[in-house]
Amino acid sequence: MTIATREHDAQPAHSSAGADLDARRLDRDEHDEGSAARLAEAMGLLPHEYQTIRSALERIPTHEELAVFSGMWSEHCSYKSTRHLLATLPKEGRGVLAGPGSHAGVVDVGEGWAVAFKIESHNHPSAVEPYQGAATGVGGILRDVIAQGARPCALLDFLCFGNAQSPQTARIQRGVVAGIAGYGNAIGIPNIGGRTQHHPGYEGNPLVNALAAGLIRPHAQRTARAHGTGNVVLLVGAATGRDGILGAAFASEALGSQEQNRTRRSHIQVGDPFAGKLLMEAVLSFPAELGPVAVQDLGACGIACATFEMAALGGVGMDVDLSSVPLREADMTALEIFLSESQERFALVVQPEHVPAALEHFRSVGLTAAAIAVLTDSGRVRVRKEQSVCIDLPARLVAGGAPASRFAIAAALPPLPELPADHNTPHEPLLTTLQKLLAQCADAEPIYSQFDQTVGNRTVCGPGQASAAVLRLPDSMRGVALTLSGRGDLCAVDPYRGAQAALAEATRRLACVGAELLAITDGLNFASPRDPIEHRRIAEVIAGLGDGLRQLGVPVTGGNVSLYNESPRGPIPPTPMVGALGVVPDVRKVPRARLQAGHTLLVLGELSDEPGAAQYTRLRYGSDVGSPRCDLSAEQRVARLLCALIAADAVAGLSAVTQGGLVIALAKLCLRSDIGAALSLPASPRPHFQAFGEQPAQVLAWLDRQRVAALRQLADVHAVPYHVLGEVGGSDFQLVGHGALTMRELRTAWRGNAPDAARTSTQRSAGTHVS
Amino acid sequence: MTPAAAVNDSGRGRGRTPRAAVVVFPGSNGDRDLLEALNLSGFSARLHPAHMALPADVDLVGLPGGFSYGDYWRAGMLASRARAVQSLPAWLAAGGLVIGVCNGFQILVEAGILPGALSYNQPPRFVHRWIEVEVTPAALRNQSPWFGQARVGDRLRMPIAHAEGRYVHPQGDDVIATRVPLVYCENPNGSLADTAAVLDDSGRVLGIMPHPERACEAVLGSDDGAALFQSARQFLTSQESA
Repeated sequence: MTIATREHDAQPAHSSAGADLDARRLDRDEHDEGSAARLAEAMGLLPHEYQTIRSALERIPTHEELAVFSGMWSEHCSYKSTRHLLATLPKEGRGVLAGPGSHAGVVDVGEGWAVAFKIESHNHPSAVEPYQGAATGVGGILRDVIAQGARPCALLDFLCFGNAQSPQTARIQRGVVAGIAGYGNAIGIPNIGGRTQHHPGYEGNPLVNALAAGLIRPHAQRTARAHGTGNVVLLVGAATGRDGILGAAFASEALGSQEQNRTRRSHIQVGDPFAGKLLMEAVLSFPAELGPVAVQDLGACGIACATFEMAALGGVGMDVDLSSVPLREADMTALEIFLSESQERFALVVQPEHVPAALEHFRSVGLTAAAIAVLTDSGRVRVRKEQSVCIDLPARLVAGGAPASRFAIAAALPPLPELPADHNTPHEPLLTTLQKLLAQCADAEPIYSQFDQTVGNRTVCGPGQASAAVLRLPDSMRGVALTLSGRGDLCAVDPYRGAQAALAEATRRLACVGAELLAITDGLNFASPRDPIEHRRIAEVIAGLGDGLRQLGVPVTGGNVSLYNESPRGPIPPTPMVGALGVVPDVRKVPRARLQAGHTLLVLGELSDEPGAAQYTRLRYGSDVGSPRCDLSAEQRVARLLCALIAADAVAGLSAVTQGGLVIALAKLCLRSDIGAALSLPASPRPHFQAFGEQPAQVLAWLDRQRVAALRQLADVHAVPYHVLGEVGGSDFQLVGHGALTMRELRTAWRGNAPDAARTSTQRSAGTHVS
Repeated sequence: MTPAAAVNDSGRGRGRTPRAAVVVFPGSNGDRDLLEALNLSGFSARLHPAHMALPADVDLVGLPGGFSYGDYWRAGMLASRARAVQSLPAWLAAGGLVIGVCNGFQILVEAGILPGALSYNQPPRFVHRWIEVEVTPAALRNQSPWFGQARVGDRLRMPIAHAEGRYVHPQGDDVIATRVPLVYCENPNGSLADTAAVLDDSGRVLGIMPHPERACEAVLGSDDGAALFQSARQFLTSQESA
């Protein structure tokens, strides 16, 4: 097996990274300037990047060194195209204990606890091998949280697939869902919430993002900052094999056809949740008296990334001996060992006198452990295998030294695709639209029921139980709320407002469980920054997020950017995913009640029939048109009202109006409660936009009739408009003036045309075991 | 007489806190949940590594949920060979109680301590869901210590979370009538005669597919599961004072 295959050539502007790694060994004596530059280009390095390397080193880099740059300066590891944009996002905020740059953001949640949380993508691997791609995505984000020192307590997932009806979507979705289940269920971290969206723009390039959260005492945080000359780097966990070599570079390219993708399987890592579980417990129980000085999870670029990043952060050097790395295959080359992305591994820095005890700590539970490097004061990472040094590079040149890419950016986006002129005229009965839309916003139970939601005994609200997930803190009635939001379809028409709509939805969802938005982690998924229009979309999304966050007074504590999400069918819609964290003062007060006969249903927030982009407009016109509706000030007012209502026990239940709009939210609520309702909306010239227009800052509230007056009073105090919609009861879903559907008809639509995830067989990981 | 009573420690007699050990296999992930549930129900519970024989000073042994040894083979097969499980028959002879939840149930079946087998769910997938189980006459037939507080027809709400929970047995009817204390109100996995739990001959060993340890506090969705642990504690303390 060679390191990478040569068949794939994504696009001329961006040739296949790693394709020629095994082509020739360029020994220092043998190769000349020209061949080194050509090799660099073949590995995906741009000419100005090679020049930076060449002049910083003052010599011709070796083959191995170029491979390290190819991985470490890939988009995936270096953020070279987006870091100037990410720098504009607000990072300071109340309670933030660790922000971007740490393994995971950490936020103080009170009572002596903090939450570490972060979102990460595994899009490209999931397109090629859905089960392993998704499984290792879960494993990878869990290791980030563990490296920060936190015990993982929750997973959430955000999945975007192509057309629900396409066979390719069915295949990918089955694999992805089974992969998330296979890893998360076995390692025993509850999956407490997620989003699944279908849009033709994701056909062939699904998005698979996972968010992990962990509990940590504020003083117990760990860092990757290596220090102390003479200290020793340990590699612990699974043995190193040939899987996933140069996955980072692979993840930084566009995907090819299905046939081409099949040849990229050597880039795919293989997950072993059992080893992951042993390793998690061993790292979390590492004795305090043994240190560690620093901890780093091994992900993209494997040992290379861990050593260079830890050294660069600490301003130290490292002498690495690859001969001491425990291997699964005996004949691996230095480069394969150094860049392997084998899963379930950590690097720890300990003082030399603690090495024997530290190694024994891991070996005693069946994990491999070895001392692989010593810290020096050289500021350089020197790598040898059997006495031959193959890499000798300044740590800070490799980790953090990638020059910013200088791709062209369009001055402005093409004009927004406007709504066709007939949008003011109703085109079909409201209830017909309801049934069609409901099928598109189908019940996600067949997906989330494959995930263990309650292991760990902290889940107060899991999937389908409230607008946001709620976990209880240990020995407490205080809780944290987590939710995901984001809409590629809205960002496709207006990336700036679409990104803000994601923040608006996060605010609304958290408020429905009584939590104020404290901080977010952002999972940004985009197409190629080399396309000036796509580049502009990336900038607009990040500007929208930044402005929205400043208005809300909320920081970003970390996240992930995934670029080059495109398939031969074209680019994906720009898709920012917002992972939002809030604190619930008392989990006993979270309203979870279903609708009951006799309840009065109201909508809090303004009723409006303004036309705009929504799931409905895509349904009607077959493409994304109009502008998303968003009003962050109104969201803040509604959120304050909701927290006041919950504190006063003034409502039986609350549910956020989100994708699909007001009447979809009503229908889903009735379906989950298994009861009908008789509802009426004010007469409007645009009833469809009133019903399905995804108007900003709307929340459903229900309660006993005699308590409506008290609710009105609080709503007035918070300057939030409200409208009584009707009464709960019966077995029909009735919209006065538009007719009625039986609950049975409604349920048929809801269970409608989603790919049949229920047929998924429980797939077993064929992972290798640790001995 | 329970094993704890046999060692005749200072805590013997009415009101003594019964002791419990939760066996931790490599790959267990419900060990802390079971430990917390037992402590919440008045036990003094501790974790016990699977590679050591069971301690004589405990009244109750819990085998937790999870994926013991990765469960890359038939669930529970490897764990049934662990020293703690191998020592279980001898430990039981001294009179203690055993609960195996989910993977723990699979381990008890694989070890031959409970009859039958647990096969792949139908439909064949991992399923997590809040479900209800109903108490059957078999629960009270042998005065099982696990159901002292239960009445026939009681419905208990708790979550299930498993891929291999379809109970099968060649002599279905006999077993169902005498050994199955809980049945699913809505069968989630194709289990024979809706079987959700199985007792051994003595009624002291309970294997249960749903998770009572995750249903011990109303704020987490249900406290119906606590009845099982409280029944067990009541049995142990009343036995000592008798």
